[in-house]
Amino acid sequence: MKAAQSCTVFLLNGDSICTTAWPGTPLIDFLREEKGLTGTKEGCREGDCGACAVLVGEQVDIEGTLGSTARYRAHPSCLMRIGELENQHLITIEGLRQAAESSGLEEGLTPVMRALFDENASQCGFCSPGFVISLSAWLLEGSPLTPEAAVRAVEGNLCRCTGYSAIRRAAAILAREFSDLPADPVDRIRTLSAAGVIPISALRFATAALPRAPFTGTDTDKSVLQSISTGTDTKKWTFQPLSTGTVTEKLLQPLVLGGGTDLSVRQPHPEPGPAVFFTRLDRGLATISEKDGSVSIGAAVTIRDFFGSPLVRRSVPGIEAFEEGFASILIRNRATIAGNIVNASPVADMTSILLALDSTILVADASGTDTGRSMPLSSFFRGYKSIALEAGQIVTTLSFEALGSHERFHFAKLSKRERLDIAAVNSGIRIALEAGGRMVLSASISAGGVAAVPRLLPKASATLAGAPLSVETALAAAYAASAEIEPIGDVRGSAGYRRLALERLILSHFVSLFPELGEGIGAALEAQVGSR
Amino acid sequence: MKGVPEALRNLRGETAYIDDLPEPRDLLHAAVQLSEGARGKILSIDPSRALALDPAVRVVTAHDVPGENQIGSAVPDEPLLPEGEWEYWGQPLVLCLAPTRQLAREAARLVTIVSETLRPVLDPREAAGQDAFVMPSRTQSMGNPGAAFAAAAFTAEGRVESGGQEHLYLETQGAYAERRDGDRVFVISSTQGTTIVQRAIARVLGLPQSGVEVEARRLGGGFGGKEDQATPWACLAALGAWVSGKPVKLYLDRATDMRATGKRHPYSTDFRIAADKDGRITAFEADYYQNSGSSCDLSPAIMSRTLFHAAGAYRIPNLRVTGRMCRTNLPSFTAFRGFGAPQGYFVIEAALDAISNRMGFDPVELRRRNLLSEGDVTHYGMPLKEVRAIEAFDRVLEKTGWKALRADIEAFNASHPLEKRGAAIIPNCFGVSFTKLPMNRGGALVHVHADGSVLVSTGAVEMGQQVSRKIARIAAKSLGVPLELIRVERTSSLTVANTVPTAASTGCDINGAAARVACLEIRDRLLAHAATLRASGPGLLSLEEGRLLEGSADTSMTWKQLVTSADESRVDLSAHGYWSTPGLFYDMKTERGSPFAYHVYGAALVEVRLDCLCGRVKVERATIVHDAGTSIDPVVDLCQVEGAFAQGLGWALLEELRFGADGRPMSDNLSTYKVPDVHFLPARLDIEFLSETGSPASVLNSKAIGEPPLIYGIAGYFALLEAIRAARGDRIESWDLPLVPEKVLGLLAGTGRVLGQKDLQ
Repeated sequence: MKAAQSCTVFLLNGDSICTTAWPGTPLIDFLREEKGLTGTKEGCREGDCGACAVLVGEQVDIEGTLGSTARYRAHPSCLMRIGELENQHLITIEGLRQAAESSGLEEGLTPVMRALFDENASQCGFCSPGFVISLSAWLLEGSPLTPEAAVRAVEGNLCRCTGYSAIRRAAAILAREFSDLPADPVDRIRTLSAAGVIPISALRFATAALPRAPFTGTDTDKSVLQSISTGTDTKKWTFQPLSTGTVTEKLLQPLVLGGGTDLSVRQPHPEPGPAVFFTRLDRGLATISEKDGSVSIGAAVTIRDFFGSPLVRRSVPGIEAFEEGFASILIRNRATIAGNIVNASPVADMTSILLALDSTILVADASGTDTGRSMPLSSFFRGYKSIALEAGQIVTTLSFEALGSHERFHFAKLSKRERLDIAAVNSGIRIALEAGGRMVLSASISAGGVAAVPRLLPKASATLAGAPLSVETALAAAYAASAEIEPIGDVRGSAGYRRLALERLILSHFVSLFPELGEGIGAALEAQVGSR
Repeated sequence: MKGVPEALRNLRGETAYIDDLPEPRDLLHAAVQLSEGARGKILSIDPSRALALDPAVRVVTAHDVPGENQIGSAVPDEPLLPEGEWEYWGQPLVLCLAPTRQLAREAARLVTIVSETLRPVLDPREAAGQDAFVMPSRTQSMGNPGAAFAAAAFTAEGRVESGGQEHLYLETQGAYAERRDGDRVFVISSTQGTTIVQRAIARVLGLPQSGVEVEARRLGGGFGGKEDQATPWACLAALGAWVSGKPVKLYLDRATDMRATGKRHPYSTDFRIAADKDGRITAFEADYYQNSGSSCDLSPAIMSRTLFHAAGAYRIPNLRVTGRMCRTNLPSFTAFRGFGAPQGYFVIEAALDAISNRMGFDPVELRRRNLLSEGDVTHYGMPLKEVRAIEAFDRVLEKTGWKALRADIEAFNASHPLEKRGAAIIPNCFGVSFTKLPMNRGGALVHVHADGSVLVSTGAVEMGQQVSRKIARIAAKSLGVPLELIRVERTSSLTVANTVPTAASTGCDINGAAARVACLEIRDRLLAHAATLRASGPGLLSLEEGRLLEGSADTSMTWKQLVTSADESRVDLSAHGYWSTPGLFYDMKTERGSPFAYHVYGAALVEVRLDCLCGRVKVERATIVHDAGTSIDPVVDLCQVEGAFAQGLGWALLEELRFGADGRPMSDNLSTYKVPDVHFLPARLDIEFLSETGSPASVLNSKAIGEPPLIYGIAGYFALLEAIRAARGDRIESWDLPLVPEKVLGLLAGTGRVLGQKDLQ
């Protein structure tokens, strides 16, 4: 394993890379300082601006099938460490430029660059490479080519000059130009590389048979990527799955890293040294499965994959609607389920969702057996930024029971900016109705941003048990919630605001799940204003 | 129409901003330690821990400044590095140099500064109570407001708050410096004004200005934030290069930039307004308390623009407005697109809102009734020409079908208990010119090369506003050559000296005009040469799209042939152009004059949708009708309107600058300071330019575009206020910008703002 730590092997644009740089090196520094690839810009170093976005291709399993396919997504390179790139294909703006040049496109512009250029969507230009990357990812991903999807694709990219209108117009051009992209991922990559949107190396990467374990940095490993970069045939590799069984060894690493979307913000310039265990490289930690109605989410499953999972969507109908309130697509591509939890932010959105779903958390212990220990997620948080995880332990799985036909789920948050903003307050609810749908059997309400930890609201939940489904019941739950919290004020909201916001979020659960209550709740609110 | 050629390089990721330039082998990186405390006194500085890090580390303090330790441009109140007291939280105290950025930052962190904390003043009114001003207060008046208030049918008064705003240029502040030949320095600065930087470095290093070469390449955004605020970083880099003898780069990370640099001025204002029974405004008074921050900076010029725009786009016969520039222990508030005008605008619009409530008069009709028209004279005595306020306003009413829209909104609101829509229309009348008269000049240097290619250098800095594209068009048109022949170079003190910053929306007006002067001079020399060649009168000859014409007939002589021939005949193919905006005058004693070359007009409607349950807001659409004169480049102008509107809307509804009760910056990164993202801006954004009539007093009859459209964002505030009123069923008054979700929910729940700025820890 020593060799694996000493050399990270990946494909950078068209070149195979074998670097001995510390695996924890921020990718943006590696690109700009080590490789001189300065087209990737640093705007904030906290994943909030998208100026440093790059495309990362990996070979992944499609849920529920045995096959594997290549998948390219945009990531903020400031939050990513190079060790995570093992076995993957990194495309920077320079790689896209090469694609345009080798395709002989006019003025060396890829079709994405061309559309942005024709609509004058680049003014000061600092954000432009990031927008090119995100829109290229949009075409690569097979998302619908609608204005809405285009907007979503660039939601993690800030532009301070254009007001985004020109960027919207450019996206509309692309949607027309690529209206008939193939649905099959490899065919799509073939089409897009032929059109000069992405380099031809992407097609070679997508069709190469790669080892499923991290490279060990040997000559054989290098030759695979070399063959991709030169376009020669690759030999078949044997599938070598990793699993949580290997976790024990990994636990001894000083730094366990999921998506790094929080750690890299807190440590923007990490001191080189510690070995890093990238949970996302362990396929055993990145699976979603179901057994006897219980859904298990691997620690390294990303937020994007969680919401995109057909199994999750089946188990919690309607849950996909809450994805868009969670950070930006760039962050959702990186942030992991366990990362969101162990970061122990009092306002973590995914934590709030999982709390309301009454999830169980499974922790593996280096000194014990692989079965680990499990506890309700709600007892995992001990105090502000304090969790029930000792040194040498990692979270491996979150699990919850799929919703029954009589159950509903809702989640809502309030933040200053509607998207890509940390919540002031959030709340989830899992509610079970009796057969006729007129009475609440039980409910579980979570809240973030109202205490030192993300938490459940037992008193508010209890008011619902056995209560009729009515405006009065909703109001009672909201007021009970307000009475059982002690929020503090900070830059995201005053204590008073948070109390009021939680009341309103709980009412919004009812209005959203049971629209027939909307009018009554509206009338109750108007009466509130009138009474003052 | 296609984008501008520079955009090609941007999109290909090839544009090199300061931090992208190749680094010399012996480069030293620089980093600063910022003050931790809003006001304090340095007792001692101990560099030993920093120096122990690495032998190559160098710690630079105020004592290393060879010249004057002072960079304040208007008032000497800004030491480059403080020797005694510091004035705000985040002020740079010492500079560290090291071979790597990481090491420089670590060294800066390790310098031990023993200090004493002093009690800060953060509130402008408190500062005013202590007579702590950066400049004496200033009053403009007209008519007899006292008598008008006494006679008024209706009066209203109130207090208006507007918050600061972070520029958030995507490229943070930075500079690169080299000491050359022992006695001069070369600096690349991300600045909007090469001369400002040059002058300050000369002062700090004790050099003649001629010994300081400053260039500005493309900036990754400026918005006013790199007008005066680029100076300290360029000076620090130059100082580092001077004392070390090595090249030095100082490039700020986002958090340092957001803590250390100035932002838009917060204002707190008291107003009163009077109207007659027909809804005509008869009098207006305002007392502006500008939070100027820790130093004078550009505050007086910004206050000047606030006062000039106190009446907005309205005719108000009796008026008295007083501006107080209050010194506080916050970062030095500075230029930001709009430059004091938006703050003034928000107050007058709040006043109209108040009086319309008092009268029970429709706010849109009230605004329309009081719009400026031809021949009106402003309160500073300037007669207005080619006034288009009513035309723009009426066009917005027409385009949006205002009457039907209002009815539609009312019907929607009546049938939706949990959702309300609201709309508002705001007019615009924006004066163009630097309010400081001597600054209204531009310079250009034009070389026509023997092969026919043209190089244009001006004082204008390219920062994404695409001024170079406009200047290229002006040059092409003035010379009579195809656009492809023109190249606009970076801004450098070697080519154009004594420049003014690219600001006040005048970048194209003055520098484009200067380029035109130089181009016309060269053209005339060429035509005179052509006349001798063809034995024709120069008056008969002209150049068009690279062809020499005699009368309207093509002479078969091309531009290139003419240029080559002229060069061989020793015709000077270079010219310097200078432009000084004509007709400007102002008497500061009487506060009367003609400070603007012209005014820009327009109007905007913004419509929002409000979730009454949770206070969420969605801006549904905006319709803007704007006066760009005869646009030099309609695509550039369209994108400028869109971008300015986005920033104005952000200022009005989203961007909240927060400081703790101790002056601590609380919104100093992108997770705590939110700017508009793609979802925030309405997909329905309809922009129309007024027809090209009249002849504005600017280059090729164009009008400045950078700042005026920012005003339209204010319509978002009043649209949201209308939606909140619909939800509450009353006409609640609250003019406390930005109207962020927390305030919205407070208003919806009837509690007002739940907690003020001061209650924060």
